[in-house]
Amino acid sequence: MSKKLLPDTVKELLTEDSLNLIEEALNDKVKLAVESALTEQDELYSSKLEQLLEAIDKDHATKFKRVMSSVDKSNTLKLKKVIGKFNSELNESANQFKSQLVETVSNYLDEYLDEAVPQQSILEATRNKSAVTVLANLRKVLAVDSAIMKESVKDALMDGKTQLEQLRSELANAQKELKLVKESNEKIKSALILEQKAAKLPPKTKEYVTKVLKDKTSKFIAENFDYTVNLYNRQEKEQLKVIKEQAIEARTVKADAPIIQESSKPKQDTSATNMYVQELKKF
Amino acid sequence: MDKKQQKKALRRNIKQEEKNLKESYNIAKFISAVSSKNYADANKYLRDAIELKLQTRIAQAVNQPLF
Repeated sequence: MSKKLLPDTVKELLTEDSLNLIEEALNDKVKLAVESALTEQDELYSSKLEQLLEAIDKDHATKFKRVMSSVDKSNTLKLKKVIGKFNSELNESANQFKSQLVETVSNYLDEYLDEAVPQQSILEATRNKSAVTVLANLRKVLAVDSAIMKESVKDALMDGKTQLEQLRSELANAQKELKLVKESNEKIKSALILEQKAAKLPPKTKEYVTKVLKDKTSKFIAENFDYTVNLYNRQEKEQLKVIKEQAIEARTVKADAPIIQESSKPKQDTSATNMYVQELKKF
Repeated sequence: MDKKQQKKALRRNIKQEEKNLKESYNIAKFISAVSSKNYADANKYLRDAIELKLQTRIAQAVNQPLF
């Protein structure tokens, strides 16, 4: 302790030793006071520091919790998105890969089939089949079968055809001849019937009947012969009657005088017959 | 093209699509069977797929006119 700080009165009273002692005592006391103060301060500060640390810890903990929860949420969302995207990508790409693979295998099979069974061969085969079907239908329609297609059968058929045609022409000729024969037979028959029926008739009647019925059939003659004869006779009678009346009217001799009928009758008869014949010819 | 022909073409297209789908299904099944070493089923599916392909080709050839 320097003596300058002490008043002059105290300087005179205290010696150097006492001053030193006082100084040491003061120093010790100060030291103790400082130590105690420092200790107190330390305690205070330490308690304050602990409180502060606790508060900071709490704050940090809450903040950390918040941050962690938000980070978790964010990560969860991101992870969900990633999972969704991964799934979609996986499915899409898997589907794409699947379709690509199927298409590739299909193309390979196409190529293999092209090499093994060319389209041209298939086309030819189908055309052949179609042609066979068409040919079969044509055969059905035209009535041609495999037996007809053989050469030997073909010749036989041709021969048969010519024979048939020949026979057909022969048949036609025979039919013509038969017709002619029938006609001539019919003529002969009718002539015979006419002859037989007219045999018993007088010559004039016979001549007339023959003239009228000579071109008719035997059936017609058989049916109409009697009628024709009767008709002729009746007409003859009527004609005679008319001539007779005319002669009676035109006579100049007496009624008692003999009439020469035989000389004039034939002439009248012939004219009357001719008239009658002419009239009948109209029918 | 009249209505009858249109309907016929539509029906043909639908049939062709059905055949294509069936063919894809058979090929997918064939691949699946080969993967799982089920060769009997694989043979069956492959045969079906090839038969469908041949049928399609034959149908195309048949549809072409003869003359």
